[in-house]
Amino acid sequence: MSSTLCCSFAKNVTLRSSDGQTFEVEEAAAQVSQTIKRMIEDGCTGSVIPVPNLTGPVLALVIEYFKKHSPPSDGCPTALLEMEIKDWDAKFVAVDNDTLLDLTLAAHYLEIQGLLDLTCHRVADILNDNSVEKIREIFHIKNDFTPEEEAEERSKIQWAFE
Amino acid sequence: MANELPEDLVTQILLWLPVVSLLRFKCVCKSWYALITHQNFVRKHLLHNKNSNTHLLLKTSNKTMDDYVVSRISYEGLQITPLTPLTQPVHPQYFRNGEEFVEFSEVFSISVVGSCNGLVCIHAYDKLKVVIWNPTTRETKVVPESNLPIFAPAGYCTHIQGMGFGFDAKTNDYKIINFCFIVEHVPMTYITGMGSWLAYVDYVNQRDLFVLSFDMSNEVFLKTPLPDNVNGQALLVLNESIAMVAFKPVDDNWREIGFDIWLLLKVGVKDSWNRLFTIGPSIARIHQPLGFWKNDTMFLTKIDSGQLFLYDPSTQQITDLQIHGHSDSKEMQLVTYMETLVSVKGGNEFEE
Repeated sequence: MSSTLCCSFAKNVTLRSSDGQTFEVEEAAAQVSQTIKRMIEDGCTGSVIPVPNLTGPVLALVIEYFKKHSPPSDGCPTALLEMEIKDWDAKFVAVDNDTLLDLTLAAHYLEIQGLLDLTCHRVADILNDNSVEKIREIFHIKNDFTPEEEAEERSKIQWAFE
Repeated sequence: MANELPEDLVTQILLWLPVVSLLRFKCVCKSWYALITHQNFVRKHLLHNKNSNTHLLLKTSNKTMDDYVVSRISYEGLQITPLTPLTQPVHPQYFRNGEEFVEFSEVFSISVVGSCNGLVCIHAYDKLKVVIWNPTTRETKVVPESNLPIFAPAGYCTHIQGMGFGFDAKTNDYKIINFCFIVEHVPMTYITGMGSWLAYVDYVNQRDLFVLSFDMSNEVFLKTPLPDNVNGQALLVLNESIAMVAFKPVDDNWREIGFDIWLLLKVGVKDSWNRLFTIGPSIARIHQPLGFWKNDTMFLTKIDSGQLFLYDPSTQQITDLQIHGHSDSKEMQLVTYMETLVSVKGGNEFEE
């Protein structure tokens, strides 16, 4: 209820993705991102704020996150609201690996601490269940150990692989 | 994945992983190896997981009482974790100086000095044998014997009996304190940067009992007198403060005793002792306080069987945790420790 009320005098900003899509969002919500907050403070409002590191679909997701996490107008989030947001967050990052990594990069670039913690934690949970080989695959990492070096390193901590 | 992750983002992700996974992931590639083993990452991981990573370490002896046993108890579930049992940091033989034949009581003299940033310090009471152990990475280090002379008045003690272990934030390294106590072995309690012991000096007609604390960074001792007429028995840690178990006589003849639990709010200040609660004689008769759990509940051990119980001071009820120490309670120690990557090799090992 309060959010519809505040819209009558809330300022909006326009964000443009790398592929030219534009999105209008409340200024207060967009300031969940420290990067955007700085741009607004530097006088970027009124014009379109470019977000060149994010594609349209990823920016659309990030804006969903902004809306859910914009500070409540009455300033005091209730415990119930916090729980609801926690549930929402969990669903928000239950996506395929590529989307998750795109969101992680977006959170990093836009300096959204909450989203960064959320995505990094989720990525770590996925990594935790996987083998070294699978991790190289997920991250497209080239194994630069020689077979001897890797065997030696593994033998030192054999128990951790069991 | 379209984009390669920048290194600081990889760091952010790896911070959420448990130590055992990080040990495996050192093998992913050379840059991950360098990152995970770097002192900065080790420190960040320690801070990041400070409040979510606690375990309990139970030291006891085995059934035949000729060996020591270390078990890990999950902090939340309060169960011994059988899937990842702890392995002994060093063979008990080490503490016996390699001697085959040992006095019956000798193996029991192995004691946990304390834990700090995931490192656990173990020593044998009456010998200069000290081992630093990270139970999570299974790294151990036998500490070289000190060549410093033992500063004891001639004719007094020849045994090292007070031992302490802690972290000095100034030098970013760990310190082991070794000093003489005249009569008996006294366990240390550790709160950030400071080790404390219950100590006393005997005068002709009376005994002066106090808390002796050692500031790890400034290397100075501090003395805190006990509250008047309080008979301190053991120190514990509660919420990063020193707590004390004191005898509380029920009658004038000390035939029955209970325990008073005190909290010291400020080291050095006698007036900052606060009495928290009392454990009545029916429980105190056969149980001994061993430590705190979650700030308001206490671990007790049954004196004759070493069984572990949880005591709730608000209801005065005890719960059997179904964990047995096999030996009597004197040999049992319960220490909290964190899962960390901290190397036993010392704080400055990887410093650039």
